[in-house]
Amino acid sequence: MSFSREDRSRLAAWWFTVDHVLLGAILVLIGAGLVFSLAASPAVALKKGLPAYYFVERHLAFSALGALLLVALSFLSPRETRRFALTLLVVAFAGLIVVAWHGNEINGARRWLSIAGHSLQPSEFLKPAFVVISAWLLAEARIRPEMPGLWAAVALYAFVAAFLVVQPDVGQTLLLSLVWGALFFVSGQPLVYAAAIVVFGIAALTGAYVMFPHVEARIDRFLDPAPGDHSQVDRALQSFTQGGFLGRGPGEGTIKTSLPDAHTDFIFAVIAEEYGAVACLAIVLVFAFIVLRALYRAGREPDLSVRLAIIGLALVFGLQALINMGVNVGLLPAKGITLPYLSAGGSSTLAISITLGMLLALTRRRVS
Amino acid sequence: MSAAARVTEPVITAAASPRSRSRVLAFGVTLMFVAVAGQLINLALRHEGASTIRVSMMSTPSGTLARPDIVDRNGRLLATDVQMPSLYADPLMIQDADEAAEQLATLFPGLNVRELRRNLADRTRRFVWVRRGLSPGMAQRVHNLGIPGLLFVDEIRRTYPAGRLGGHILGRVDIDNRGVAGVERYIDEIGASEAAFGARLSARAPVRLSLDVAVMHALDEELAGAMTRYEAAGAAGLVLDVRTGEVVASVSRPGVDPAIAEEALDPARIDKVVAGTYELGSIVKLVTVALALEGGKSLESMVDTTQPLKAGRFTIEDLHPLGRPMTVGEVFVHSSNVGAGQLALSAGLEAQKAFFQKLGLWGPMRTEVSPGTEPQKPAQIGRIEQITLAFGHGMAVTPIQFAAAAAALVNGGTAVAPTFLARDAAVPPAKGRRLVSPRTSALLRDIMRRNVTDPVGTGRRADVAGFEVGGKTGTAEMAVSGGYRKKAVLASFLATFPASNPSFLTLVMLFEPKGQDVTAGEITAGRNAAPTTARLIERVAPLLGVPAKLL
Repeated sequence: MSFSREDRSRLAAWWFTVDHVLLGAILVLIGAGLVFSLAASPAVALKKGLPAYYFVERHLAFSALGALLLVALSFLSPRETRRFALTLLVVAFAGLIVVAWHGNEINGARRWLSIAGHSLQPSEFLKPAFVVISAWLLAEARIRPEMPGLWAAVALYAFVAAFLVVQPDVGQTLLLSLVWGALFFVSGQPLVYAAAIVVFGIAALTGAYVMFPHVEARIDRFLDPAPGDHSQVDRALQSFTQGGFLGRGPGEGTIKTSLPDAHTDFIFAVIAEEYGAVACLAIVLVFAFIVLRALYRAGREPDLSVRLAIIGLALVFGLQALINMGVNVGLLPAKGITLPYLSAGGSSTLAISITLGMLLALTRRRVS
Repeated sequence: MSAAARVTEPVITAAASPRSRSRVLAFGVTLMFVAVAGQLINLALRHEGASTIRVSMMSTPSGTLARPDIVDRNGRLLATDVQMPSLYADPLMIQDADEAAEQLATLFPGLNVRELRRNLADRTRRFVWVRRGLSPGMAQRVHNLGIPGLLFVDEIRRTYPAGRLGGHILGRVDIDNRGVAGVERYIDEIGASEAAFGARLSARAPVRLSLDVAVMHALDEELAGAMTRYEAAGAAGLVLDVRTGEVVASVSRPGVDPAIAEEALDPARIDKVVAGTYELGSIVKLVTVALALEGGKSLESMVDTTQPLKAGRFTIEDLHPLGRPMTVGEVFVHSSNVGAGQLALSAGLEAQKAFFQKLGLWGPMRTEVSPGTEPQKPAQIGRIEQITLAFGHGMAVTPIQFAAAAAALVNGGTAVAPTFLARDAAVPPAKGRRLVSPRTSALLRDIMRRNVTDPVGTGRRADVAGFEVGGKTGTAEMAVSGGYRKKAVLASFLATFPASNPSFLTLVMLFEPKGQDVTAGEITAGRNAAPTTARLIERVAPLLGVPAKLL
């Protein structure tokens, strides 16, 4: 693309202000997702009795839609972004409430909402909206201490966390808690408060371990891998060792035929087996680059509210990738969290596009 | 600036949020990415390690053996190892044991589904054999089932390209490729096999047997033909090199396929050459005549055969008595039971027993393929036992054992130890212990040859122009518990050629042959085993390198 510096249109303005490197890295990730979806999903589709390219076509469609959404959202100004986030928060929260009463139950949890034949997961869309609004409230708490910004932020967090725990979606709750805690810490609140939050977090985790049998089981299994059924993670680990550095070669993988979630939660293991650790390291590098680039941009952002929002969005995106990869390589207990853009899944792809779209919007250079 | 001053500004600057805290955050995130990358490299480095784990799994004590090939004396392959995938299951990874067992049962109809289902459902186990030694096609079909937890490991399996030919001698191996019988067991005993690491084939030199596949095949075919021709229930044969003791061919029908364990365990398929013991009948007269010749008699010495021999309540008489005294030579050629009995009686009990012992007929004879079967001897030896032993009854030995004794009698008189291993041709054969004098041996060859050339000799139908065949018939009534079966005989023919300087000895045995038009209704060895021997020698002598002396 080339625009004249004289061009004052919104498109030209966007082009000159958007972070090209960040945008490029995200597009690389989307492209990689399409390539790797060819590796894993045909085997899973055939096993489920679907046409071989069912998931590939869906992936392609959602990636295209996601890319459009990404670019469209990146046109927003910080103020528009915040308004969009607020609207999304309300809508997603409404969806969450509907899901709580009559959502589709999949794998023992009510997280899905059926809209026109497509199932959507409201909690996925809630995350970026929640982060942007929390960032704004926490920033307000620092800028205008006379307003109850801090209490509003805490209340919002407690409300959302409570709803997610009830679903029950402990993984997403944990993710949001981590991000919210990080924002609280970075916003410059006294360290004593931050320490209190850490203590509260540990208490909450212990509570989850005691209250939810499946959380307890998963953590027990992770800590003591000898007995019981942990075949999925086991099999995933095998594929990393079998792939070695260079992999068995495209199409030569075996894990995709034996893992039911090969195309979603365990896509990283499939890539490792077929393309090797080198490809996986490249993926880690791209994720790390996007997150660190965003954090770097945040450091140069003068507006605290924008800055916190950038950090929050980068963390939501980065932690999600880290948790997924951590589970795949056996560093974390099994958790159903997708790998951004690489895992198949409509909700996930669109929600990540919204996250990164807002991130791109906020990292655009502005004259202040 | 004080903190209070900062918070009063309308747009708070970056300084409001301590830069150090952002750095801590970025540092933490970086650490997490590094941890994932580190674990990735860690797992990838285990790549080489993964294969060693497999190897150690297969070298556990229950692991298989890598065996050297077995070849015949000319290097033709009789047994070899091949790599085949074996199917096992990791029950921990099996999601639905019932369905997995059911699907496997459709591919392997012989599978014990109940046991398999129980094993697959046993989550305390991580290794269960399902089926070992699959063909690549079968392995692919199992793979196509797409059942997680079904895994393959390459194993080495023994195969026998010659099928039943030589099956008795080769023996067999168990599921772990360990020799349990025959030459296979011998290979393990001498330590020629080795633990198979990672399904690697043995690099050791092949074990070369004394057998010649071509001679084996000819013998097998002639025996099969004779069984059909004479409606015999079984047949066995042996070709032995009388100079070296090498067994060039040994066949027992019905045979066994080393790959089919059930056949080796079938009593009807016993190796009739090496393992079974039989009363061999008149061919034992060779031993009795040798005993007489060693005792100072000549072929022209006279024997009183005018009267039947009486021993207690038994009376021994000849089928076609000449009604006059016979020479020793005539006793042999006419196969006179009375004459043989008289020869034994005149030699004396101790001399007769000592001679049997000297020839190795009194105890089991060990070979590479068998520890030998103990001969069945009479509980005590009196006059009647002396007489019956003289014509081959009342005592049962293995045919290979008798062939070894006969080989010593015709080869100039030195002991022969039968072997199934090829001898190093560069080393001259060691002379065995002397058993009988060269004169006795020469006279025995002479009388055997005369038995074939004499127009009334019992072995006349064994003659083959140019090969100087000499031999002796034996038609033994087959023993059943408590007595003998009439009309059920073991018809044998012991032959050596060329008779003037023997190289080889053959023994052909037909079990329960029936009277046919071609045998004039008779079941005696001269009518069936002798002509079968003629066909055999005519066919194998050129293979054995024995030159024909045609006038």
